[in-house]
Amino acid sequence: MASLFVEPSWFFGYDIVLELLFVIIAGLVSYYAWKIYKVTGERNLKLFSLAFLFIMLSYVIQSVMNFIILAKFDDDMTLLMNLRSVYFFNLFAIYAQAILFLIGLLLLAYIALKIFSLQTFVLLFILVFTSLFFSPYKTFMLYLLSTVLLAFIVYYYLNNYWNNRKASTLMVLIAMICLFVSNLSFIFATDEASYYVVGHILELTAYVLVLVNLLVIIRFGRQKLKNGKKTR
Amino acid sequence: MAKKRDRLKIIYDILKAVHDKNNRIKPTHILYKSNLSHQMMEEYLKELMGKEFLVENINGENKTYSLTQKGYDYLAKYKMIAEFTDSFGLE
Repeated sequence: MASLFVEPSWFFGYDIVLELLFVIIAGLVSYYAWKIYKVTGERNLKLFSLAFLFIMLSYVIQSVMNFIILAKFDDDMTLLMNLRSVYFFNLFAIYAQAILFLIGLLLLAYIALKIFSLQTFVLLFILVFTSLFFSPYKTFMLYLLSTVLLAFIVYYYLNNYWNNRKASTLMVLIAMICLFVSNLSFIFATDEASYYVVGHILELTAYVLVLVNLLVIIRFGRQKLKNGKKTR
Repeated sequence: MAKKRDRLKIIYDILKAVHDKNNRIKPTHILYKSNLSHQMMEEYLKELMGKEFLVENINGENKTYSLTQKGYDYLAKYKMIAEFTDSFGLE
């Protein structure tokens, strides 16, 4: 949603690289969660995989939108708001990105709720999207809603760390806190350029932590069962 | 206080018990090794057969269970599964 943010000119391009990195990491998390779901058949893993798939797709749209804006305009342009030539494209991209990102977070919050009822999910979905649809300040509302959902998710991961104190649960907790603070920064990024950069740096920290955790998990996956049949 | 065993660990314990008995185990041994009530064990066995982790072999009055390839896969990947579900809070 760079089009509605005040973005420093020196940061043009860097945000796209970072968003592409988030695409890769979110995609990897989704892929491994799906792979483990296929082995265990556990519903939580399927939902988690879908959550990161939606988050990944939201970053794909965000990076494509930022790339098109970057390709179309001069480097000196810092405020891209109200440019009619990109208005409709932006509107579509903003809605698509917001919907995908919020669905991803809703699924994570749904896992955290531990109430597996479709009605609960539908109610959350309706509440979130009616708030977004009727708000005159879409970007503000998107990041306000995602910050609220992330606050809930952070609380869940705090409990997870409290009940299972080890490096991996701490890493995921810190990652979620970084995502929460980054979304909080994006709320203010419509007025102040530095918040846009801070938000991206915090997002980078979050995804790097998730990636490190995932690499450790993959290492566990390479260990074979002793004295057992060799698996695929 | 001891931490409650989660579902995935119970499934691992059952499959590991089958594996350790040369892939052929009687229900009484599973009951002993998995440390579950009879009713809980029956529910887990039903689920594990439904998920095709185990197969039931009936020979006259004897009933035994064996691992399938999916069951071996679960055992082999359990460390990764446990680490993933632990860290991402998916138990």
